[in-house]
Amino acid sequence: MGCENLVILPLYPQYAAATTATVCDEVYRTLMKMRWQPSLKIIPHYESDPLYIDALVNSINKKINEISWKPDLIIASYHGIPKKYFDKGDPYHCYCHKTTRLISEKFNSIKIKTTFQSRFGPQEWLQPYTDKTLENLPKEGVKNVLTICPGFASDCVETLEEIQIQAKESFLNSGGENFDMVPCLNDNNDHIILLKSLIERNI
Amino acid sequence: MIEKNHPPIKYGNTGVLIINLGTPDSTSWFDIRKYLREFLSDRRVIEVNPLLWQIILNLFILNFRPSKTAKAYKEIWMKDENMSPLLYHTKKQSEKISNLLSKKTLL
Repeated sequence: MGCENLVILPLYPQYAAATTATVCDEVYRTLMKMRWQPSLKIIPHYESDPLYIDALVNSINKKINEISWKPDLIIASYHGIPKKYFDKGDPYHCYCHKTTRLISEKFNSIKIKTTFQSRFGPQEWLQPYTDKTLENLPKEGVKNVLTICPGFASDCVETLEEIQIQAKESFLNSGGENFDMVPCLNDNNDHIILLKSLIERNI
Repeated sequence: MIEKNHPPIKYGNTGVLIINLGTPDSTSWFDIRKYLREFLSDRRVIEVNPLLWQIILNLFILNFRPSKTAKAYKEIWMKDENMSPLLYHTKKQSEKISNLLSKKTLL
């Protein structure tokens, strides 16, 4: 059974060339080989969609209700990209800050700071770095930190291992007292409603 | 009526594809290496001269990096389902959206 229409939803809320554009490239490459191509709709990035922001805010509130301590600061950690890509015009950095700003507007009781994780190789990446930030916070008196990774639609090695295991360990070793991570939206109800809505608006 | 030897016709179906990053098949050194090779060969991910990068990738990174990455994946691997959390959650998302979108095919 073939399809006459194809709708693509890249699960990257913040556009970056290395993620969203790679998905598009692959789709185009596949269509190039077809005699009877389907019509194509690629759903754009959704970093400021109200349903997305609400889903993130709800997930933070849920976590805060589960833990027995009050966070001094929330770290919104996004996957980094080399700074050079930003200098060449990749809009990713701005979209990450936009998401954090929109969460902050609905959540003004605790300050939220944007950081970038998963650095790889010797060159400079987007700053501030998540790992360095977490190591320095206890020295500045910030010892209770909650982390959220809004750019990841699902929990993966970058959230579960890099943040929940590695970053937690280094934060606590640097003098931090409490650390926790808000799970990604995964298959929670708010997320499914968001994704369904994105699809329906583009079908 | 369509003639018997008429080529196949696609009817008005709409397919929806949700796409996230790839993930290794298992935590074995070879599967992790295969995953890293594909991911790090993406020229939008690594914007270095492709020829030079393939040399660096094959000589150094694909020999030293897989064991480190495998260790990270072993910490979080979902043993009962025998898959990475990313694949597990993406499948769940796809199932749940599929159930909500009537008649639409979600792959």
